[in-house]
Amino acid sequence: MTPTINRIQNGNSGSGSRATMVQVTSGAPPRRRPEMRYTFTQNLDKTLDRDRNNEYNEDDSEGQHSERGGSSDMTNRTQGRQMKSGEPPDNLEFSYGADSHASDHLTEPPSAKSSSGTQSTGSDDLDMTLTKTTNSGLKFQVRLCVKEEIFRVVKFIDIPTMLPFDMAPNSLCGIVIKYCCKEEVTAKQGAKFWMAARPMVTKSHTHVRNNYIKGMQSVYLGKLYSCHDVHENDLYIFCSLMQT
Amino acid sequence: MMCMKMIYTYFVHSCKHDRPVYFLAPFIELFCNKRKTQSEDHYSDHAGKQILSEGLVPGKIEQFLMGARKNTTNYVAFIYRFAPVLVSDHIWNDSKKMHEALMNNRFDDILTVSDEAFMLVVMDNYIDPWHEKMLLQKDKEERVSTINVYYTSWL
Repeated sequence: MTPTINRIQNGNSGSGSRATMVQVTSGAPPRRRPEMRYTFTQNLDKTLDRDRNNEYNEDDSEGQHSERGGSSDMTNRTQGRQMKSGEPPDNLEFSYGADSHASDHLTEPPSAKSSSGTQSTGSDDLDMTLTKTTNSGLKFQVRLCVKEEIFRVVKFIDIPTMLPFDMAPNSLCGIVIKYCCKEEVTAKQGAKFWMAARPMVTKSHTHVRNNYIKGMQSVYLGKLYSCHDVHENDLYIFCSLMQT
Repeated sequence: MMCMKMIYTYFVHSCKHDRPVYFLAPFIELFCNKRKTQSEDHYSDHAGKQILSEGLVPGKIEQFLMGARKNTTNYVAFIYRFAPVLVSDHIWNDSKKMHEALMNNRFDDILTVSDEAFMLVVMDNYIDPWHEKMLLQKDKEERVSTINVYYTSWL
């Protein structure tokens, strides 16, 4: 097994800023690379070329438009189909919405990466069909479940012991699945759902606990503007508690 | 430094063992029923605040909370003041719901043992910074109130 070195040069760039990429491959059979590992310039050129081709194809025939697509969203979906048919994808864009209109919404939960951010972007928020649970919707459901069901019983979550996947009705995972999914869920679907909901559970549980502590603090502190005539500390507490 | 979770488990155990909430249920109902008339409501609220103002200070907090099993008045005042934060106000002030829960011996539906232990832990853990914050606010309030302005905006 001898390693081979492939030197790839980008012809479009000028001589001063010539982009060169060295690719070292071993003699072993090539592994399937993830789609996100492509360089930016290479992908930019290819997407531009694809857009140009799509414009030509739109002029030629409208039937091919459904296969290739003109917009970026449609491009993602067509690439998802290309991956399914076995052809290697030659674009870097992550095709999340490939099966977005699946009949069962649990087959494709929102990714945990997008759920951690404050602003949820992507095609799932723009999807107006009611067949799929959006990221923000799932977050809302999990927060309600934590507030109404979980926090009444558990005030502190021990992550390694309490949060592994478990379909038992008394476990945290089982409570969340039962609350959020109205239909019966198989173990595989539940595991996929729990992968997406688990970080939300920990985050919202901490959030709810801090909110309650803040509420108790506000009850203890009270409002202070009516205490101007009281100078003793004990009496001051009495006065501040009176205002709440 | 001990973890808050460990203290919480200790409080849960002690609350389960002694069950003060169930023992205090009739007293809590008395408090709730007194809200019907304004004068009685004011009286009960006034008494509860006075009890809490004497007990919820950093030097006396341990004696106040740990001795609450014997002195039920303190404990009722404490729960009556802080439980509506954990149980939402619209549930706590729903007298019909409260009456049903107390009559059927199902007070656990409203305020769980875990809630009670959490209240005790939070009070035990945060009483020092809260008290200090309150004193600082008081100083600030006094400082602001002593400043005299030169010109008024209304004339």
